[in-house]
Amino acid sequence: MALHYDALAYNNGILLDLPFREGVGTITHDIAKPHHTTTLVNTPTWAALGSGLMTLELNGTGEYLEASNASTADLGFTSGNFSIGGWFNWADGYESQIIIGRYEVDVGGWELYLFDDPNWYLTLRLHHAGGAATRTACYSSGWTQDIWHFVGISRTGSTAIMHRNGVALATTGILEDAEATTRDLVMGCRFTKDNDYFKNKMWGMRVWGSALSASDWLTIYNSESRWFA
Amino acid sequence: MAITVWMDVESRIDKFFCLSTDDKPTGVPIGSILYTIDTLVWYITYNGTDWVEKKSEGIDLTGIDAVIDDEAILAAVGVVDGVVDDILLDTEDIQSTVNDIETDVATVDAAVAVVDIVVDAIKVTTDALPTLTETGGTVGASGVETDVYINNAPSGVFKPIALKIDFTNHTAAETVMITEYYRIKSGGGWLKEDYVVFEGLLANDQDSIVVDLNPNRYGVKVTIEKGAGTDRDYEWEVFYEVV
Repeated sequence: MALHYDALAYNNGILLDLPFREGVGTITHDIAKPHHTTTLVNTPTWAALGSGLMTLELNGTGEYLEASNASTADLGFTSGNFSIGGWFNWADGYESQIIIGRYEVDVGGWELYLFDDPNWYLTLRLHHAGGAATRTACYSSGWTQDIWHFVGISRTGSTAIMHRNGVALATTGILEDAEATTRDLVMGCRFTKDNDYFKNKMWGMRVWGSALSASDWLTIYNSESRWFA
Repeated sequence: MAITVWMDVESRIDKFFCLSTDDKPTGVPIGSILYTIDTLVWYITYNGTDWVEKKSEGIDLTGIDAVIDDEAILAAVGVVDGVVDDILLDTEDIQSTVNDIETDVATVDAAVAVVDIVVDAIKVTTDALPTLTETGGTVGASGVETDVYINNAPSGVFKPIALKIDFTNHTAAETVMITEYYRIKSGGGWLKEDYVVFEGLLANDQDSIVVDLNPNRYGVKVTIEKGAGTDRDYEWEVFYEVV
């Protein structure tokens, strides 16, 4: 007996899902319906965990992943709810480290980034070409380095509820709808692809075009945490 | 022992203190009082010479006993005792109830522990359930053997099912080779398991081919290589079950 990927409730509305199963090469495939092909730039390392799970390790100095703006138009959220989730284990490196984003600062799009501070902030930031603010954000703290975290963020209206390992966190900030961007989808670096490199490992980066529930995040965490024990 | 006397100016009587064996004073103001310090008894003189015992200093308690209803007091004490007993009984009941609740809680805890064990056992099983998954992309066939689908290092046993390749772009002038490889031990090399050459158009006006795949633990890949003709793009889709 097998479960069916699209029948799993938390996969409803999923737009990007990168399980990094290739284990070799410079392309990783999306198992969500849109099939976004994502390219590894500057040879990130395929790194299997002790559990056998294959992850990608970025060196924090120039390695990242990308998918073209044109091929990721469905990830160009300018209004409405969406969700971002995945596993990461970050290390000391750039003060700001981009996990994933499709954005241009103060112009448009969205980004999820870490800030190396005693409070270890994780921020979802939306960018605006006009209006009262050129950027709005929601953030949470406690994202310590050198351990695995499962992050789940549900953008719901003017807020984004963040979850760590399936548990909702106190999240601060107010969001406004983002404007459009012409920039590529990036994972592990700034939209300009020359700074804010992510250092260490990530796995299972996912994006949904809807807001997942707390139950969804906990269910995903419970089904995947064994790989990171 | 000598008698000690104090004059009470306000009441104009004398107060005496002496032993019970001392002679009591005479010719003192009527109403004077005397206290024998060895027997702790108060006396009062009604004529200044003779002394009688008084029951309380300056207070005539005659008739008080009649007012105090000992039986009523005893009855009241009995009622109070009854109430106290009831309270004690209630306390015992409450303690008994608490004990019962603690027993019930322990029973529920034990049941929850069993449920946890069952849930863990179910989770072990459900965690092992594979998910039918799909992905796909586009591969360019050139003179270099190129991966179409690859899982180089599966996390465990998984079940590739089928790879579909779209030959719509393929013409009568093209020849491509499709090769299927498996790795059958940890760290082992790729073993070629199947190799098919597609020369020209597919038979029976077929637009696509299907490569059946086998269960695997250490790696699987399917490649494409152009043998003749023009470099073409081939769409592909793969299905596999994976935990």
